[in-house]
Amino acid sequence: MKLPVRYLLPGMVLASPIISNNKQLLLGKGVILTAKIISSLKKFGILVADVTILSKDFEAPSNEIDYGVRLNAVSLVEELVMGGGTVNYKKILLTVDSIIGEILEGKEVTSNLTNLCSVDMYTFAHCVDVCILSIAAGVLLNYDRKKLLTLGTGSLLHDIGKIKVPLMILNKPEKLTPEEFEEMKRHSDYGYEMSKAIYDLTVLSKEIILNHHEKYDGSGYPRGLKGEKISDMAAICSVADVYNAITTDRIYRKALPPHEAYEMIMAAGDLMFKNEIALTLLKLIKPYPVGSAVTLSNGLKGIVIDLKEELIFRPVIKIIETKEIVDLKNQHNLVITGLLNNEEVQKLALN
Amino acid sequence: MVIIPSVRKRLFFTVSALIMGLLILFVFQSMNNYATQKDILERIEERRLKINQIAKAVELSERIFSDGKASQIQIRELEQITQQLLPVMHTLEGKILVQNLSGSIENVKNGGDLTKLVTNCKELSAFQQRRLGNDLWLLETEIISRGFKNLITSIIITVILGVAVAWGLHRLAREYLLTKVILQGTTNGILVGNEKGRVAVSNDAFCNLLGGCKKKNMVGIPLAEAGEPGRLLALAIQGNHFMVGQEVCFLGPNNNEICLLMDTIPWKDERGKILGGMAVVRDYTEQWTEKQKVSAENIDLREKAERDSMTGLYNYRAFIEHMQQRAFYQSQGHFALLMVDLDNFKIYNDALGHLAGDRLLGELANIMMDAVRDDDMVARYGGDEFVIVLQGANLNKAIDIGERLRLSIANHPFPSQECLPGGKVTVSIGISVYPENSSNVEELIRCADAALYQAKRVSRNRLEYYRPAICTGKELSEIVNS
Ligand SMILES: [Fe+2]
Repeated sequence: MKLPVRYLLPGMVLASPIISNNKQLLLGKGVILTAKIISSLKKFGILVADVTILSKDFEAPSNEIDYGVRLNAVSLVEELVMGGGTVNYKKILLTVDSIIGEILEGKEVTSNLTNLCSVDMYTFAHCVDVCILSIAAGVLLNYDRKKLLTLGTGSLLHDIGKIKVPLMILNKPEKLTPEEFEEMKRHSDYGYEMSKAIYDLTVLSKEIILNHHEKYDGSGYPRGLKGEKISDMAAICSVADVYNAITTDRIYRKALPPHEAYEMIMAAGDLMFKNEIALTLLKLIKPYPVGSAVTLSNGLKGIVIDLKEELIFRPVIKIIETKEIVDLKNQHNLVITGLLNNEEVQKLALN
Repeated sequence: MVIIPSVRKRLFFTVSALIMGLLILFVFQSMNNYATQKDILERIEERRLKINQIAKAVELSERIFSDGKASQIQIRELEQITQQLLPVMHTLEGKILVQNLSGSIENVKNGGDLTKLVTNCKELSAFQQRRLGNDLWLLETEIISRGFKNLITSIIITVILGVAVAWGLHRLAREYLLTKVILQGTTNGILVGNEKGRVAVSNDAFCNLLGGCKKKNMVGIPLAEAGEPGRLLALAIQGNHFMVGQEVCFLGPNNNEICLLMDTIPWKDERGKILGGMAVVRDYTEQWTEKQKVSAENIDLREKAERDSMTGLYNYRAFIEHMQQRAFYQSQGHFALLMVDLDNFKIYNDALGHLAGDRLLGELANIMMDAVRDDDMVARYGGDEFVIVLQGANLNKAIDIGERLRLSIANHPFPSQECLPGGKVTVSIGISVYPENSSNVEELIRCADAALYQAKRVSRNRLEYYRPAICTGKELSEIVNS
């Protein structure tokens, strides 16, 4: 269960590793947190940690995309941005393909790297998270390997233009002024310019970078393109971008819980996004992912321990009080009423 | 066998014809006699009435004569009698005599001679007596002549009738006998059924071909009880579906296989309405057995060419042929292709030798055969690679069956499997489905192959289904380097 650092308590056990600014593994999986560790995490700028709050009985086997693969991709984006686009295109392709390989193996795609990283790494981690989601959507849309590589590459590089946006605007905790927002919007064009330096990068990949903030109803930027003028690939990247952004804690607002993000994307279908693409992405999103703490309509609390793809709203739940396992698939009179917030989770851990 | 027409039967026909003729004659004569009798009785009655009237007139005239005068009443009575007699007198003489009498009555009324009245009455009476004699004689002759006429007519009718009946019956008998001759003379079994589904005719040959019947005379029993041909004939009549050269095989009473060649022929009336049908059967057992043997040999040969000698499964060639046929004929409907590859077979082979490796493949083939249904095909694709064609399966069904197969192999206690990494024999499976992945056979095999590659790449003992995103290492390097 992912908890913001300020909710961490001594005695909690790390369920996933924690990665530092310079992509170093700070703490490995299974480490028991102490007060000292928690304060140093704050110092390192880590926002969120994945911890086990209850006994081992409630731990679901995690099947997330390999950290090595993800960190490798983060490094690549950073290298590319810092080095001014001198990275070998083939190296990008192979990195993206390693992600495709992981996705084809059926690994979990909605867990955010962004949540586990420090503020400084946010943009790069976000790029990799969006890349993963986009590729997974592409696989569902029956894209072949070549198209997936194009889509993955474009999504991986979609926000590289942000390096040219002043940090003051990028990390501003308050609402941006109209002028600042105009500057922020320019990252699409900056990215597109930068992508021209990458030799062999396909036109479609570049188009993703340029159009990843265009909306289906024409309300997007930089050019306000409408409907089918936006390529499907850019549209996929756009939905993935929005989903990752709203489910990540930022300095200026808290992350939405997955089931709220699910409903938000669903509501935006065919307005902001092409409906078919929004629906494809929704297939990837689990409103109540494995490991999340939920309240049931009978008042009991439980942890989601298993999930069937076609019944995402009716997972298998282990009741915390009784350790009883309830399969909502067979319990039609019982529904999930909500996800526990961080305070509630912390309270659970205290007990 | 031929039947000679029996004299007794002919005699019987003749006698019955005669009896019938006589019967008709008797009826005819009785009717005729009745008419004659009625006629004569009427005439005698008329005559009796006339005589009575005349006797009354004689009596009256004699009383008038003895009294010497006639009273008014007597005169009126006499006039009444003459009036009644006049219309019933048939002869001229009788009419004149009655008119004479009425003349003399008129005379008496006017005070004339009484003697004339008496004389006239007596004359009339004498005439009537004479007529009665005549009549009796006439009646006698008429009865005789009528009887004679009747006799002649009767004889003529009898003769004509007898001849006709005898001739007709003779023809009938001939036809009947001819049918008998044909029925019993032919070596073909014949069974005729009516529209009620019952046996109308059958012959001994039919019984013999069936291997014996429970009842010699089958007429009237339901067709369904007349062996397999009877059952089929009943169906043919019911469905109005008759055919020639039908092969009928069944088990005889001694559990021996009997094969017959059967023709069914409709039996219709002039308007084409089905009255029943006839089955003609002949022995076919020998030819059939011969035919069976030949086709069994052919199947054997073909099987041999299609089979893999080590595992007994279909071989690569048979699989490809089967697939091409399937893709050609099956324009709609699903099927799935499962490529099954043994993990780490080389290690097993190297550790335990080729003989052990061959035995392992054989055991694996058996498990796969058990895991699929009868319609499905399991073939050895080559080396340690197998292919399964799941008839009518969509992707979910194929994944279901494939996953079960993978688990049953992983849980099977293969001999010496400890030598393998992981300590057990496992397979990787790649799935492609028709027509979703491709309707082209080669493409479909390529898809299953790519899925298998993906399964092996991730980890062994895994099932993977084809998605366009999947490609082999070679294809990937082509994309990356282009
Ligand atoms: Fe962006």
